[in-house]
Amino acid sequence: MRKFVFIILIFFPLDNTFSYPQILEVKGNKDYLLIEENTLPIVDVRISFDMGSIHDENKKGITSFAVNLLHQQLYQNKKIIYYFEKIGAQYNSNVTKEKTEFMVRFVSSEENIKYISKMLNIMLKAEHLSDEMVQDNIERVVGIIDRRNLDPSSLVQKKANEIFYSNTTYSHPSIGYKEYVKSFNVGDAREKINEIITSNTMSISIVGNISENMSAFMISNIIGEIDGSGQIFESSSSTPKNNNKSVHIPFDSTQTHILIYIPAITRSDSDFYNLLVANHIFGGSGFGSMLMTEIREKRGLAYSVYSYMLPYEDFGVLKIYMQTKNENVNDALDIIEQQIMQLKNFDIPNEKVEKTKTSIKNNLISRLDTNKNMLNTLSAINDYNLEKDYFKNYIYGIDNVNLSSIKSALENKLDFDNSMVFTLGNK
Amino acid sequence: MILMLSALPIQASDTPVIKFEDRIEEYNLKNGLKVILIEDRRSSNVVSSIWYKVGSSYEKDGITGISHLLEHMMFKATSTTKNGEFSEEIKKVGGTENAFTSRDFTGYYQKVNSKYLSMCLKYESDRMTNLIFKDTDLKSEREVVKEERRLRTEDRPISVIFEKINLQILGMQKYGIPIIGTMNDLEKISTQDLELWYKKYYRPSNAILIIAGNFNEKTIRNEIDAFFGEIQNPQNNTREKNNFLKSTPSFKDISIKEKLPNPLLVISYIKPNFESSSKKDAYALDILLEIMDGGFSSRFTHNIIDKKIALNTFISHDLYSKEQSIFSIGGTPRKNVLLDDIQKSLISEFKLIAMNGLDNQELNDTKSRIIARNIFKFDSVFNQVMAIGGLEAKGLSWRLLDQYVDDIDKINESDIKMAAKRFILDNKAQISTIYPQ
Repeated sequence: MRKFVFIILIFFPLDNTFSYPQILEVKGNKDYLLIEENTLPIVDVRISFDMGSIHDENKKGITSFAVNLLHQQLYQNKKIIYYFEKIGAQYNSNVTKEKTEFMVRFVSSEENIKYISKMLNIMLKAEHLSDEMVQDNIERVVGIIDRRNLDPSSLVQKKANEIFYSNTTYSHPSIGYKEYVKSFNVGDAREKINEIITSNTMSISIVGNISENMSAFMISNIIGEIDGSGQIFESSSSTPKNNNKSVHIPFDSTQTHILIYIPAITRSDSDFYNLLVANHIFGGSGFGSMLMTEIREKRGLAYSVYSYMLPYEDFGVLKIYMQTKNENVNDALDIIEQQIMQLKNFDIPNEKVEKTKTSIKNNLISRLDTNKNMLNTLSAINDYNLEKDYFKNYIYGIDNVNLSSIKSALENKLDFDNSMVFTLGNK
Repeated sequence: MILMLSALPIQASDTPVIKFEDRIEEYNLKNGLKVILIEDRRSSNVVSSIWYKVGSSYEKDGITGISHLLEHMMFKATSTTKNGEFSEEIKKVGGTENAFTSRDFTGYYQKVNSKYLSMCLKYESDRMTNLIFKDTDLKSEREVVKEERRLRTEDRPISVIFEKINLQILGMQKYGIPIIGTMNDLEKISTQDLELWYKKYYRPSNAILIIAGNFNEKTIRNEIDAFFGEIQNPQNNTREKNNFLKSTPSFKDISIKEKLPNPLLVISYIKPNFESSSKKDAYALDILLEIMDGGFSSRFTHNIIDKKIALNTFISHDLYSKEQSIFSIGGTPRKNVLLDDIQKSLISEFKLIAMNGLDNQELNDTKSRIIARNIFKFDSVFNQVMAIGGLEAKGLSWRLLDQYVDDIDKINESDIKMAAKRFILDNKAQISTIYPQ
């Protein structure tokens, strides 16, 4: 029997499923996932909540603002961030449209696990928010908003979202607007934190030198006495309809930034893998992709040009982004339009599709080579409620893609008629 | 709470040190190519990289940006391959690749499953000598680089400011030269210029091959020998000195208007290259700057940002510089605070430390951050390659990284007080003030 297994294994490629890291549900809870990786004395933790800027309601920017206060709370006369940095731990928080997340990386030891988890609990309970912190933060956030408004790549993104997602909760930037931020007070921040930070809506992903038992201990410390009666917010936005508009935003810069939105699919859509392969060929894979070849390699029109899928809970978008000197913008738009037509027709040889599938499958294992990368994948599995057999299913999903399934997905799931073109610059 | 504080956390300095010497093999081929193999079996990946000892500091007025432009051209055809073929092969096997140019080196890397390492070596050795320079390729690639300059420099006020400061203090030579080059020079560089540059610097005796990850050492040594061992160095391989014009640093103030929302202050100083200062001085400055602005709990944050003087502060510093370089400190003032006030506050932090020193707790916390970062870099094989290559390509040894923790640990309060005096308080400062347009 052993001999038989050996023979099978030597004929299996290295990147077969047995190489994928094992995902453990800590104490059988599907919201708490662990990849144990003991070769380095490092632990990476990510805590996430299903609330983001789409839940800001009439206080645009409040989620990001409130979350940014947490590590600045004073605890025993020092900011909480001090206690992390004291042992060399690295802390980060992030608010996206649909999620709020906190990340900590630290040198592993039983003492540090106890210490970090306790500090995270103190931070998340948010018992030390003050008016002074809020006032301080207002000026800082307004400064960041002002800076982003002068940065062409941030500004085109912001303006495009405002127009493309108008009348949905996705339209405003996570950081909010100055006029809203200036009116925030400590009560607003407390109210928002209480809404976000609840133990029953918390997902935790852990990667590193930590056992399942210690992970369970850590999670229970983090949760501590945090309230568990959080409301699970359902998002209810539908795909925006825009009727193929073009919008130009005047801006004094040497380049014009071009951003195109094509309504697409959610992460759970059955055609996800079809469009993943199509996008890889179109503009998602750097050199050799259709956009890169036509825009950069053949004509030198841009340094960077790419496309990517952005799947939200209820809808998704395929985005195309590039920037070129102002005089070239019409040429660039013509070429992108031609390439979009080619994507639509997808007159691609089958051999190319098969090569792309192999490339994507090989890349999956290649992406799991660091704790940081593993944490990103694990968090995506946690956030999107993907199966524990994610890696196997991913390979299966790609294997099932073929030329005709891609064509059908492009026809039915990419809403080319409602795409929008945004340009920002001195056109 | 009492319970928590009784379980004292372990500072990073108490954890076992991970050393490169336990995972590195290094040797030279007969043609002078230096090979460094870093074994790391955490995944089935390898990073294959080659580093050429040439970057913008080797250039001169008239051909600035040539090293970086050549980096772009290296993805074109060779006498045995077609344009983009190497990239296409890397993509096919699910790998990733890129290249980078700095002041002192130009590097190329691929990250692939170890079974494709041989393919990377084959293509990399091919483009070391067989690159073809076509006017049509240069025509489009020149435009790509000009777009890159517009994106990263001309439309980014911060980059514009630092380009001006470097040029004024260091002149159009060595570290004063912008890595991407000036628009004027980019327009003029020809295929002949590029070919000469390529032949002068792209040769085994001026290169370092660094491979990290999960490989079989015996196999890899044989393959390196097979692909690179026969490559000859061109006849005239002595490096010709560039004709630098001696320029005197100018510490004249700069005051400009840029597209920024708030005013900005930048105070710049010159520091000697790493080799000509003692390690103790270099690391004392490193810790001093970490104490000042190395984290959310640093002195600048505590005493300047939290005291409502600045919205933000920054420090830019290259510890292992090969040439005399600039390091800068600065920040954006809060509303109703003058740039003069922020300048006084920044400098007074250095005066305070030079006068009163610091307590052991602050020094230990700072070292802890540095040591933890040192451990974290081992998470990524790519980061290991970058750390080793970044030193070796500057003519410094990777052993510095292994000694770093011990060297840092030896720095004491009086070294830091001295560094504050020598590098900041007694050093000549150049002041740049930038106001919103």
